[in-house]
This record gives sequence, structure tokens and C-alpha cells, in this order.
Amino acid sequence: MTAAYKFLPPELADRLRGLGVTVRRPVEGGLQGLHRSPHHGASVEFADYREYTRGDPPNRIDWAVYARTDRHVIRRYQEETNVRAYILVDTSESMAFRDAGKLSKMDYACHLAAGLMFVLVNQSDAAGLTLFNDAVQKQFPPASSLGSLRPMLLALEEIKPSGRSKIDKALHTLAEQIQRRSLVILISDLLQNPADTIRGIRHLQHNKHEVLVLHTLDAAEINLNFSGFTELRELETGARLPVHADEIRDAYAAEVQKFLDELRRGCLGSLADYQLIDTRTPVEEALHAKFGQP
Amino acid sequence: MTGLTALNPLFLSLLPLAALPVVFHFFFRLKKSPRVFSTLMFFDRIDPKLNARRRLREWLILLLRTLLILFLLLALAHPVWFGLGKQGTVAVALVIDNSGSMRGTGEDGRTKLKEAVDAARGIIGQLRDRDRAGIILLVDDPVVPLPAGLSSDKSALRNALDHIGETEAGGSVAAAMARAVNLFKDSDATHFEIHILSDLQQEKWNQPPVDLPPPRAGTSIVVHRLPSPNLAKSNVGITGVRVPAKIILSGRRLPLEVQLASTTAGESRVRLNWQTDSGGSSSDEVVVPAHAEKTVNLTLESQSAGFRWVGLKIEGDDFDADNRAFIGFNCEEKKSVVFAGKPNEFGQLPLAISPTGEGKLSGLIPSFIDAANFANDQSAGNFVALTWNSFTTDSEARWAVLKKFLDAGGSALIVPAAGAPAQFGSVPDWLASVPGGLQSATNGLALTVLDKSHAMFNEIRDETGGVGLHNVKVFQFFPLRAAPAATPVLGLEDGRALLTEQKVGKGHLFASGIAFDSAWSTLTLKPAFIALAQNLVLTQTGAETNIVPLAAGEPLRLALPADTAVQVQSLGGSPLDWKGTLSQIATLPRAGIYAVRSEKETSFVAVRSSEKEGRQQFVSGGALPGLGQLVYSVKDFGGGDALVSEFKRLEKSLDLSPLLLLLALLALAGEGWLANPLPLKAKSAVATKTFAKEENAARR
Repeated sequence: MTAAYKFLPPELADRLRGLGVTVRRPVEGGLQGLHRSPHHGASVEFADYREYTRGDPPNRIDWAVYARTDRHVIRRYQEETNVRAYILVDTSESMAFRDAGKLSKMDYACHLAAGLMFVLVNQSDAAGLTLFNDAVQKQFPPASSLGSLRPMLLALEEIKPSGRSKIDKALHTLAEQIQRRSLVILISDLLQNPADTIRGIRHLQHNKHEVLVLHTLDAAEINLNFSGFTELRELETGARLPVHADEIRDAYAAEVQKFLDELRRGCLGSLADYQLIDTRTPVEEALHAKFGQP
Repeated sequence: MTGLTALNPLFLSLLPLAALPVVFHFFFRLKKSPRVFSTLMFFDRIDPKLNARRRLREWLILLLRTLLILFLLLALAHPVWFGLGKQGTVAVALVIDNSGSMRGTGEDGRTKLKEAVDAARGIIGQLRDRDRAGIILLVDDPVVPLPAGLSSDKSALRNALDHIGETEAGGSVAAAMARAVNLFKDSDATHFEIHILSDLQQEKWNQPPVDLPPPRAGTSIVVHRLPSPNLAKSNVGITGVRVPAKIILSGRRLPLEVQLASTTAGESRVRLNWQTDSGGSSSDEVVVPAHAEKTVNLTLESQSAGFRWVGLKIEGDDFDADNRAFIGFNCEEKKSVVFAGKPNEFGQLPLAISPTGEGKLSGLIPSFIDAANFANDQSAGNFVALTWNSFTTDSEARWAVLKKFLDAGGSALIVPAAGAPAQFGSVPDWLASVPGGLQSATNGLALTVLDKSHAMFNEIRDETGGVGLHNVKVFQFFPLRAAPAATPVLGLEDGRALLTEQKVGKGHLFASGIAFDSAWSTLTLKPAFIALAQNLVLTQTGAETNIVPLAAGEPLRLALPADTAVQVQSLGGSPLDWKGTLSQIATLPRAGIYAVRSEKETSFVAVRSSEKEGRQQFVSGGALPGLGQLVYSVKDFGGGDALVSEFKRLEKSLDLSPLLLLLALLALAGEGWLANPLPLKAKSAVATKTFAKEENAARR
């Protein structure tokens, strides 16, 4: 199945087989799964007790408690369901940047998305794909079989980074669209005002979604790796800026660090999971680091 | 020199170089390596005006670089504000042009030299006790007692000025300037000034100097141009005098060639006077066309033996610094010509040499001796005529005697014997001309001159250089086989030599293949034969002489070591009696005849006035090639008072170059500071505050 896909080669798929994606918050899936559901139901996972009310099946009364307390209580069990994961991939032009890494941020993000879809489907979850730049460009509803991932994997291969990114807009759009509690995985370089990004994440959080942010950056974006007098051209806008790299290197690194801190703290405050990934890190290693066994 | 003056104005011409940074900025600016980058947001966060600041800094750097070059060039131009600043001790060199051209009259009727000397006297009068002055003359004049180097002795300086007189010489600007510059070498004065007083005659001031030493820094050179309003309307100068290049004998009239040249536009009618050392004098009226040369031939009466001189002077023109000339020559006693043989063997030669037989007209006295006695009698004269027949007997010994005679400086002629069968003995190796067999030509063969430049033909040469020896036929002859050591003088048209000259030792040997007899050729029938025969005896090519002809102001070239003690006395012309070493008297500035006596020998110098001084072209602009790379200003001479006030003004000066150097250093420091800025720091406090604000807002 995986042999035909650029971003999910067999060797990558093989290495990802042992991984599992977990969510911290209850999610609402359509099928029985590995994740906690906000609902109680039949499972082996004890949840709590509640008073027996008329209409409850009498076979659910906990007679051992009744013997001790003379009260009729019903034992409740946590429902376990599968997760519906929405993977958001930033396709703005800044994602085409590549310098220190072997892959451009776009290709790296595509590898991550493909790998995650594979892992999710492999553990019986459903994975959908949303491509966006300044607006949502393409959406694929969650699919729970490897075969149904095909359109998404092919769509990843067709991505040509373009446009400016408006991550918050995509997040707001998605927050309005998703009805059930789901896992939202954002893969982007997040090169915009962090406050806007955080607001989008909070919107998702507010709608009870679990949010995972995979922040992909090229190492050259974190620390300038050139020197001398250079004229920089911004990918998204084409704006130019002549700079003396040596003069500005330290200030730049500090600014980037500040930017990362803002994002990290923003995500933390929004209960979103944040992970910065350097594109020099092999994709499977990055996924293992995030989702592997501790 | 105006208030603000650049002492090295050459650097001012380089001021456009200050635009180089701008040129480089626009045409050769460093190419920025273009680089694609994902976002510029972090740069904007560091400083939203980063680009604007960078541009501003670039322009500031550009401005500072321009200013740096500008200040540096201005500092190197060494600007000095005269009339401001401190007043220190002054060392002044007064360069006075005393060349012949300064004899011309100036605006007030005085000579230009007189005006210059009076103005110099004014400056000397202004000197304070600590000031020093030196006087430099454009033409070295041995009669002027110049103080050595710089002096504060005003009386000595005035005395030197009093002795400065007009000369007839052309001076050397370069030599005078070198002396003026060297005056300041060891001076401890704070201001150095060179004031040049000259009419700036082009002849001297348009000559680029060679190896002019650089002056001390801060030396002000001011050229005061004396106007030449009264130009001569007619001027004729003596450009040369020539005596014949042969032995001059007493008892003979002496022809002289005097070259005259007119330097004015109109025809000049002048009188040429001459006077001999014995008091004989005469004159002649000469008309010289405009801007033309003319040769005047004079004939002097016979002179007595010894060193003789003639003085010549032109009268009747408007400029007299180029009007005199002196020529000296050695006049020898009547000369004995010895014929070794019988009179008839030499044909008409004895008669041609001395028509009267006693040397009354020619100064040559012929005598005859037996050829066999030549070995004993050859000391009787220094010219001997022999026949080839003389060497038929005892030839080896006779050739040896002749060789010895020639080596000692004698001259000899060997001719075939006229009226006797030709006989030849063996000839020595040193003889470069050997006669072949007798040849005859019934109708005669044309005799031709093979060496037209030979001194023998001087008096029969026409204006075109041709020798007036035409239609001479030779009927019998011995063609001479001439080796390279012998110069063919006369010969046949086919190139066969009939008369050759060979230098042997210090003497000369003429070998002839024809007898000077009408049976051999028609040469003896020609009027030119007399001059030819006498010149044969009197010609002394390459003879050494102790008389040096010079133009006034030319370096005195004598074959004596420079440290030789000499006494120079004038025998005629300008009076002079001077003692010293030869190196101390570089030139003789006035026309005259001078005896230069040393312990070992006496030389004579015949000086004529420099004809160049009569050329009436003067530099009118401010550029003087004669001063080369020196920095100077040219001012029209406004009288002695103006010169003195200029001198007083120059005493004060403010040197602006240190200030400009300081400004250049400041520009350099500023440029260095701007071009190498410290690394920027992030605005952490502001950014953190912003972040915190946003975070709080988001939380709410």
C-alpha cells in the first residue's frame, strides 16, 4: 500500500508501526477505540458510582456496595472510543524554505502528516487532512483505513507552497466545522504573530478539542548561518531587506527565541501540546520522540 | 600670494578624487549576495527601521569617506593663511635676475635690474634682528661680494646689492633656485620665503629644470615679475666670431667672420666696431634684415707674434646686452718651410708658398737644403717638403728620420720630383700611401676634390660648400694606393688618390702622386693654387689650443682640476681681477678677454655676450616651467613699497594643515565607527512586555 507514496515510503511506515498516538482529553469517536470518551458505557475501565434511578438496568447495581452501605448504586465504566484526528498542514510559501535541513519545511511537514495519518489509522483511529495557507484550501474527512488515506497522501504530493499563511483563520474555520471532540494536529512553521496563532488554538481548546502543535523550522531560521552583507528576500511577500548578518546575528537569535517562548507559553496556557521540530531531525525520529514509549 | 594659499597646489587638482567614494558607491558597490529567506518578521521585530537606519548609515559612511579624502587632500595641499597667525623669525632668499635681459629699461626709465636691486634693498631694510636673508644671483658674478648663506648683517647684504651690476649673460634658473632652496637647509627660522625679482624672459624661464631640490615645508615662493614696457625696436646681437682654423702667422692679414642676428621685426642698421689688442680699430656699417642672420667678413691688419685678441662691439641698436664679443688667437712668427732638394724639383710650389721669397705676404719663408742633409737640417722648420727620389738611397735611415720628425709634431709633404725621372726606394710599413707606376694622359684627366671638408680648402670654398677648383687637368701622375690610415684629399674622378693626408705621431704627412708643376697638371696655373699651397703648410687639423671661446654665463670649462687656485684677469673688455679656486668662479658674466692663470699654465677665455638675452619674449602668465614642481605664485612687480608690504604680510601665517589632518582623522574615526557597528541587541524588555500583554489579553 505504501510503496506508491512519496511521503510515506515503506521504510518510514515500517519504523512507525510501533508508535501510538494518545490524547489527554476525552474524545468522541464513532467506533470502539483506545481513547477515553466523555461518555460512560461498557468497558472494563471503571469510572465512578451514581445513585440508581428508575429505568436503569437492575443488573448494573453494585450489590457489594449495597451490602456495605445499604444504598443502591450503579457502577459506571468509561467508554473507550477511537479518535478522529484532523491534521492541518500549512502550505504557505514560507514552508518552501530549506537551508540547513535536507528537506524543505513543506516536505518535512508532509512526511510528518503522512506518518501521523499512518500511525493513527494503524491504531484504528481516523485521520483527516486539511491544507491551508491564508484560508483552508483542501479538506479530507477523517478516514480510518489505510486504503482511504490514499487521496490524502496523493494530495500531499501535489502541494505547491504558495500564498501567505493565516494560521488563526484556518484554526477558527476548523473549530467551527468540527462537531465532535477530536484531535487537531497543526503542522506549520507558525511564522505569524504568535498571539493570533494562540487565539486559534484556544478556540479549538474551547470546543473541547485536543490540540497538538508540531512547529517545524529549519535550523537556519533559528540561528542565521550566513555572514557578511546579504540581501534577504522574503518568500511569501518578496520583500527585500539588506542586512549585515554579523551585526544582527545575536539579536536575531534572541528574537527567534522570544518568538518560540511566546508560542510555547501560549500553547501551555491553552493546554495544547507543543513540539518544536528541527527539519534536520529525521521524521521517524521526531515522531518517535513525540509519540514513542517514554 | 593671496590670504589663503596652498603651498602644494598640485594636491588641489586632485580634489575631484574626493568623489571616488560616491563613484564607487554607484558603480562599483559591493554586490550583496541575494538570499531567499522564509520571513523577515524577526528582523522587523529587532528594529522596524533597520533598513532605514542602514541606508542612513551608508550615506553617513559615504559622506565621511568623501570628507576624509577631501580633508586629506586639503591637508596635503598645505594651505596657509598668510596675514593671520603667529609671527616668527623669517629666512628670506632674494633671487635677483641679473642676466642681460634685465639691462632693458623698466617703467620708470631705470633698468629692470636697478628696480630689482632697489626693491631688494627695501626688504633688507625691513629685516628684524632675528631675521636672516641671503642673496642669490641668477648669473654668478665674481665681482659681487655675496655673504655666504643666510646673514643678518644688513650692511654686508647692502654692500652686496651695491655691487650688483648689469651683465651680458644668460643665467640658470635651476641653479639659482637650487642655491636658494639650499640656503634654508639648516635654518631654524619659522618662515621661509623666496622672493624672485625677474623680468621672466622666456629664454630662461621656459626651460624645465633638472633635479631641482625640494624646498623646506612651508616655504613661500613669490615671483615678482618686472614689466618690460620698453622693448627694443631694433636689436642686433653678435652670435659668433670665427678666425681661420689654421696657423695664424704674423705678417699676414687675418680674415674674421662675424655672425650677427637681428631679434626684432624691423631692419636694423648698425655699426660694427672692432679693436685689436694693439690698438688698431675700425668699423663698418651693417644692415641686418628683420629676424635674420648675417655674416660679416672683416680683415685685420697683420699682427705681431704672440697671444692676440680682438674686441667687437655693435652700436646703433636699442639693446646693448648682446652687442659685444671678444675673440683671441695665437699669432706665430713667420714660418720656415724647408725644401729638401733642388728648387726645380718642387715646381711652382715654393713660389706659391712665398711669392716674394721672404715671407712678406704669406708669412712663410722657404729654404732649400740638400736632401741628403735632411737628417741634420730638419729642425730648421716644422714643415718639410721632400721628393720621392730622396728616399732612393739610404732609404731606411731617411724614412726613420722622417718618422721621428713627424712623431715630434712636424708636417711634411712628399711629391714626385718635377723634371726628373721618378725613382722610388723601399717604403716603410707605417706609410699609408704608396705610389704606383707613372701614368700619363695626353689630353689630361680631371682632378677632383675627394675630401671637400678638408681645412686646406677653407678659403676657396664657396657658400654652398663646394671647392672652387674647376677644370684642373692632370697629364701624368703616380696613383697612390691609400691604406685606411690615409685620407684621400685630391684625386681623379675614378677615385684614384693623388694627394693624401696621414697623421703620424703628432704630425701630418701629405703624400702626393703629382708634382706641383705645369707639366704634370694645370693645378699650378689656377689662382686657387696659392691658397691651397699655403694652407697645406698652415693647416693644423686637431691642433690643441689654450683659448676657450664662451658666451657670457656659460660654464667655464677649463682642463684644470676644480680646486686649482687661479687668478682671472681681464685683458680686454669688462675689468676683472679675481683670485680663488676654479670651482668658485662658475661663469664669466660679461664680454671680455680673460687670462686664467694657474701655477702651471695660463689659459685664455674669450667671452662674447649672450645673444639669447636680446630675445624679447617674456612669460606673461602664471606658469613658469623653469620652476618645475615648485609651488610659487607670480605677482606683477608693483614697486619696492608693494614688495615690502608683501614681505611684511608673509611674516604672519596660519598653517591650516594640522587642523585639516585632525578633521581627516575624525572623519576616519567616524567612518570606522559607522562601518564596524557593534552587534545589535534584541529589545528584550519591550518584546517581553508586549508578549505578556498579548498573553493576558488572550487569557481574558
